[in-house]
Amino acid sequence: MGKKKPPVKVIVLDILKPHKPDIIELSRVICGIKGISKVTINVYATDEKTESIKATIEGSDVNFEKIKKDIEDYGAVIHSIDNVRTGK
Amino acid sequence: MQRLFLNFFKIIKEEKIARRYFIMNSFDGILSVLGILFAAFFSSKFSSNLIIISGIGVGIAMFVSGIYGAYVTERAERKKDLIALEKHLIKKLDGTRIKKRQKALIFAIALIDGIAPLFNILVILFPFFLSRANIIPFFYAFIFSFIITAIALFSLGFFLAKIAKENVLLNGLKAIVAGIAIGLIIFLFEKIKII
Repeated sequence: MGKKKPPVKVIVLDILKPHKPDIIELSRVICGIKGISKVTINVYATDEKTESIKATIEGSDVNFEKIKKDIEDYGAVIHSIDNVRTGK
Repeated sequence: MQRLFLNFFKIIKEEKIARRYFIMNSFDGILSVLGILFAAFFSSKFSSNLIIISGIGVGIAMFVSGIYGAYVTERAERKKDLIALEKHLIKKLDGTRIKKRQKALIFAIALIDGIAPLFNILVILFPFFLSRANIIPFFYAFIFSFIITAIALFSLGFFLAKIAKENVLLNGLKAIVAGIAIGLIIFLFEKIKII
């Protein structure tokens, strides 16, 4: 029996997304994922077709793979994981 | 099925282009059938059956051309946009919600484009169905159809003015003038025996 990995509490993602869905809808999508209780999104660059955003995702057990899968379904791409906080 | 309908209406509500197509093609349908009505009225050689067949013939043609035209045009335009977006994202969007939504949107727009003229034509022709069933006299069918047409045109003008926050009454009347213009032109053509 392997030891249970400590859960991720906070993760900051750098994401490139189309203008639609907007950040309100995207934050709701992420916040709807099990184990996530708070999502903060900041837009730091916008061009004709896309927006670059920083999403700070907090919760009791933040599942990165699930977030990645869900937001990619909306056409967004994760560029990098910029910050992570893990704790028991 | 219910979800499909809800999605359909959600898309129509969100996408202003669907509204535009609906109004534009409603005008086309109304004015086309009005042409038939005026021609029939002035020539006095028509029967309810002939008006219904002519009107529905135009309606079906507009239904097919609307669906096909909008589908092909929207598909090409949206595909171009999607390719541009994929280039920006450096990622294929196959299987994503964006692509699925786009497909649903193209179908919804095509359907609206086709249904709008046919629906309006059927409503305007309704009195002639009553006349064919001997419920109202042939002449009354004309009167009722012209009244329905005037109401439909006024409603479209009214609705457009409401969107643009303009004078709703004036715009409603302007739309009716477009219908009267058709009548006048056909009347003149009939008088100088061109048709």
